Amino acid sequence: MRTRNLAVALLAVFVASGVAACGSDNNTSDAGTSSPTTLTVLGASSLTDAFPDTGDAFTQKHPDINFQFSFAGSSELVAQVDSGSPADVLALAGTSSLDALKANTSKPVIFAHNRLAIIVPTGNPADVHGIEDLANPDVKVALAGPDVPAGYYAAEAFKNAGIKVDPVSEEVDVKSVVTRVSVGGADAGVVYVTDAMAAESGVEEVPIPAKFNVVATYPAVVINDSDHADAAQEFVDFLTSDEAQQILNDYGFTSP
Amino acid sequence: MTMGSPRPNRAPLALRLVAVLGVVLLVLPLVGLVVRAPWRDMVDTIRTPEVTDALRVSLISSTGALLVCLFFGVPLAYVLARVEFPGRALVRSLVLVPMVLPPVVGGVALLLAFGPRGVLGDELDALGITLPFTTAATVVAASYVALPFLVLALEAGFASVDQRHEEVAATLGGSPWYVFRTVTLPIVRPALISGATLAWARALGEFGATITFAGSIAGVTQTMPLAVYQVLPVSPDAALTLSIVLLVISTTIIVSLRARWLTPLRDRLTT
Repeated sequence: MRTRNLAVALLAVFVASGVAACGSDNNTSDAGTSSPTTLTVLGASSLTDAFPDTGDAFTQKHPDINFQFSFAGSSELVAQVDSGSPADVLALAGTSSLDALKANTSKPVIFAHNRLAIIVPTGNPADVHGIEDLANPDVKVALAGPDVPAGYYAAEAFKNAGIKVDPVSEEVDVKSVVTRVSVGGADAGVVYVTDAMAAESGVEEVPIPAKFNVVATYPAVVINDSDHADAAQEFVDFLTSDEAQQILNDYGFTSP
Repeated sequence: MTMGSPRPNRAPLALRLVAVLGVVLLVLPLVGLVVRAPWRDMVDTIRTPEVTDALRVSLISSTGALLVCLFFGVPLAYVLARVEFPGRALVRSLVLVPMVLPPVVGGVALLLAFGPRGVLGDELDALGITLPFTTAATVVAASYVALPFLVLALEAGFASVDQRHEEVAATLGGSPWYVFRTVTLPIVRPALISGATLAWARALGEFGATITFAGSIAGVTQTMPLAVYQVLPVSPDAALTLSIVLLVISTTIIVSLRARWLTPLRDRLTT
């Protein structure tokens, strides 16, 4: 009987925290006097950390525009848009991923550049000190899949370095590569410098020299079918403004 | 006949050893989780928006899914158990398909059915409903994967009801609906509770269908499993805290209901 009371008590705590969180939710769209617009922004997973801040900065200038962010691998986002998921803005990590998009969009705006870096688990168990070490068959390397920008950029970097790398795992997006390495599933992974910066713990960065490295180009577009095309275009334009660029730079992106 | 004293042990040693090994294999990952969790800062971590948002979305999603499953599952289980109709075996198999379908495939299938370009896309659009990226979509995805669990348990329950109880009630003047409410349902209560618990737990843990059909938007569709996945590369502490919360909730529900099942009916009536 006591376990049941405990279960009821814990369930009540669960419900109470849920209700409390409901009350503190600042995403409600019925606040404010003008009818607020909520823009749905699909972003490449490497934008997970920086984009919400750019959204906040934009909302400060345009209080009636709020954001819903959804992050996933760029190829996954393209598939979502093409299967009809309602999105207003699409921001990818590579322009060739944009080519695969069938939906009609505005002209792409390049709003950021990024570079690749190698990450290793804390302590560097496989003693990886440079990109050449990744060609060592004893080093387990995790990469993003070949259809994901982080994957095809990594392939380009390997070509520049003249090495062949056999990954033990091809992940669906670049953040999954970070997870794979940080939990010890691989000895090294190739991600963006922004991801290496953003990881709070579990990984160390091993830089890739500029002569082998690749510049990642991030395009943003407005989906033409969107119900909020004007607001969406304003946000896309905002991304190239000094304020947004400063935010992106703080996270490790470079300006185009 | 008492229920207290254990019977003489005739279980083969080999079975007992393998059973112990099985328990170890199941418990070891949980031990790993508990050992690595950031216990010191856990209360602070629970208060962060990442965790509270995920808790709220999961609460709405799993409870909503449970209600949907009960609404459709009880009649479905009853009809499958009691009503003879052509193709019944086929329908039963179809109902169980979401159980064996890989969840991501389920999510894609939901998109193809209820998404804007799906089979019902135009009709939903005419009603002003767009499901992807909404909390309602998480309820749909969770219901889809959880419903078979409820139907499976409850159909067995309905099938094993001694129909003489219902016949007696009917001869005493009860309408079919009255008999169902007052005689049949109370008898299947254990099956209903266990089926509902399984369905709720399945809905709470759903990942693949939710992320594919509803997307992963913090505070709107990002349930606890999705949050663990999204947050892990950046903040392992938040991810581990969410994992512990999920673990505690699941274990508590299972343990408390298990105690209820083990209590014999006679003892329950006298307590």
